[in-house]
Amino acid sequence: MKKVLCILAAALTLTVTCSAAYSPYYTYNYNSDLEAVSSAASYLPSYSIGSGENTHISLKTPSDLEIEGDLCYVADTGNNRIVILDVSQRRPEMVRQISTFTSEQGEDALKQPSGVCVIGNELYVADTENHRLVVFDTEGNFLRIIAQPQIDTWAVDVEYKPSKVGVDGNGRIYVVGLSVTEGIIQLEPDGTFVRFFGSNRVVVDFYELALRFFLSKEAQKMRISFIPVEYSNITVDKDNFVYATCKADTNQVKKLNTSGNNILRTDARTKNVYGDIHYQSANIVDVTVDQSGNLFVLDSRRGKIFQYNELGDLLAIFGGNGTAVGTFTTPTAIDCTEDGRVFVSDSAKNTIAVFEATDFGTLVNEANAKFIKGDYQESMETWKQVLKRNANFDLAYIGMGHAYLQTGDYEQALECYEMGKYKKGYSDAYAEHRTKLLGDAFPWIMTVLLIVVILWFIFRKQIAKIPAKIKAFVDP
Amino acid sequence: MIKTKLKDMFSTLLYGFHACIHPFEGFYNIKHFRKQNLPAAVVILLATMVVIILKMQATGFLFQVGNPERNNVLLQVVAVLVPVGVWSVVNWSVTTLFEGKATMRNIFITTCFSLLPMVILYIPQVILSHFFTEEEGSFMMIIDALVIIWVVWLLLAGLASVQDYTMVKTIVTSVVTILAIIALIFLLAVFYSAIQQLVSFFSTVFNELTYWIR
Repeated sequence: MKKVLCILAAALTLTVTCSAAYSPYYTYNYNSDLEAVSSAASYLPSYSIGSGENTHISLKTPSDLEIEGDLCYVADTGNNRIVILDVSQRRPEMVRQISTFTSEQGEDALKQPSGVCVIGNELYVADTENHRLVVFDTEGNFLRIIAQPQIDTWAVDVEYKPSKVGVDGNGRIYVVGLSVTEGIIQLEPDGTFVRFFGSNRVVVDFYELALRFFLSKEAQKMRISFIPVEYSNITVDKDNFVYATCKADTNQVKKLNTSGNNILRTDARTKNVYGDIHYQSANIVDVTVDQSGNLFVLDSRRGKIFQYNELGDLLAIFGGNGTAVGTFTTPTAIDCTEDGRVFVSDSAKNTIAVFEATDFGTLVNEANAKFIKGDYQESMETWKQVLKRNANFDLAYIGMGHAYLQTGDYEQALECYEMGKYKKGYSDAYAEHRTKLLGDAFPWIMTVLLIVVILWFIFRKQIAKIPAKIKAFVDP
Repeated sequence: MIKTKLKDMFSTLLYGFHACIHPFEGFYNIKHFRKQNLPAAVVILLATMVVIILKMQATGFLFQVGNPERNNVLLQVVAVLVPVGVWSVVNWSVTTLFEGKATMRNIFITTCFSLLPMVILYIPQVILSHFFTEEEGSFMMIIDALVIIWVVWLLLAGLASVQDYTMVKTIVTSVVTILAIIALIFLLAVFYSAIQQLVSFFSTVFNELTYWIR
């Protein structure tokens, strides 16, 4: 009896401890046929801020967050304030909040701020409903106001509502405005307008064009006009590249260089489609870059986060729609800490969910970091560990293929590339393998050729009769 | 008896290769003078199926189209049999109205013999696919294009000589045949849907009756 109780107790503790690792969503990745195949979970929800054990911090419609060191800056839109949290511990501490301040006009307050950006010592806030940007230092002291810029091409009645803001190392300010379709507004550090940056192209709908051909002038005016999509969010990385997101079917995430061209690599399996690639296209609302250059892309349609490496290979998919910790109803912003935790804010659940990499995810990130640097040999062991946990992970086979190709072990490389369904690598490895094979087989080929020539010489009279024999058989 | 038949068939089969190069003369002779031409045609049809399955299953990794683990051999057999069968039936139906001299049997034999380039070229293509890199893939495409052009040419030339048509008339009847096949598919779809409606109607009536009786 005691034994049974012991086992029961053990089983109970086991289930309790296991429940910490329970995943509220399915994790998968795309194979070479672009089908979703199961994958081990790379990231699992760990805890949340604003609910559960952390109700001491109450948020209302958080719409943006930025993490700098141990501090997390949250645009707490519904409470008209910016919240600064110390997130180094599992229980975050409220460091300070910014809601009212003294400016040149006297007592002033933020009104529904929906964007934050921290650069060096300065905190930029997109004070949306006040039509301006406000700059504080990280201690929360007011520095200056950047009012609505003078934009000549705008009509008088255009309302300037900055929703997201990004600042690069040289102090250039990038502003995403609500319903601004011309592109990202680029400002000088002093707030003067420079240009519209990285403008989206107009996507021509051929059905609409064909329809307009038959419509009268009046009817054409009733149709929606072709306008480029507006940007939804921006992030500036440490090399001053601007990552921007927009709602579209392809190229939803862009990495813009100083001339406003998209330089994101799109030759990986999923090409230039971000988020889930089947059925309705994803509604990408935010993007962030981690320490090793991986992209975390947040899709608000399905509440999922997609992790891509620098080359565009999909590393992990996690999250989902729902109400459990780690699933979302209206996810708004994403950022990650230096130690690899991923923070995602949800404006309807009024929480920030925190994800941590699992054993598998850590291995993938580790191997991928070496892989991106080109240290294929060193990544080999880690890829093997990854494959032990998830044999569907094609990038691991490709990474191992690269390593074997480097060491000249072509046959192994061919096998790995075939497992990873990577035709380009296979072709390169095969070209090398073929040269080696031909070199080895050359004496044999020549010997066989010589024997054939000799045989033909000996039996040439008999051979000469064969065509006639066939002819006699076919045409009697 | 069987031995001579087999010998005749084999001889006709080999004559097919001659017909590939001299289609007008070759197909005329196959129709009028070669013995056991129907069995030979069936053998070629079977060989085509085998070669097409081989091409799907045994092509080297670099030139695989789709995933060979998912290929359905039965579906592949149907994909060869049905087009050849439908083509023979519909082409005969069309050409009898246009003073064609060929029977359905002749058309079937001609169609089967004109598939011979597939048997000839696909086997070396499959072997070569194991020795080519991606950059040399254009050779594969050239072979594919060659097979299509050759088969279409043989079919047109063969039908022209078998039906005693000019080339223009052959092309016109072939186009009409394709249109007729499309119409046939449409009719089949309509028929299928009508049968579906009918079955569901009767099953509903049956259900209603059983409820009523109960």
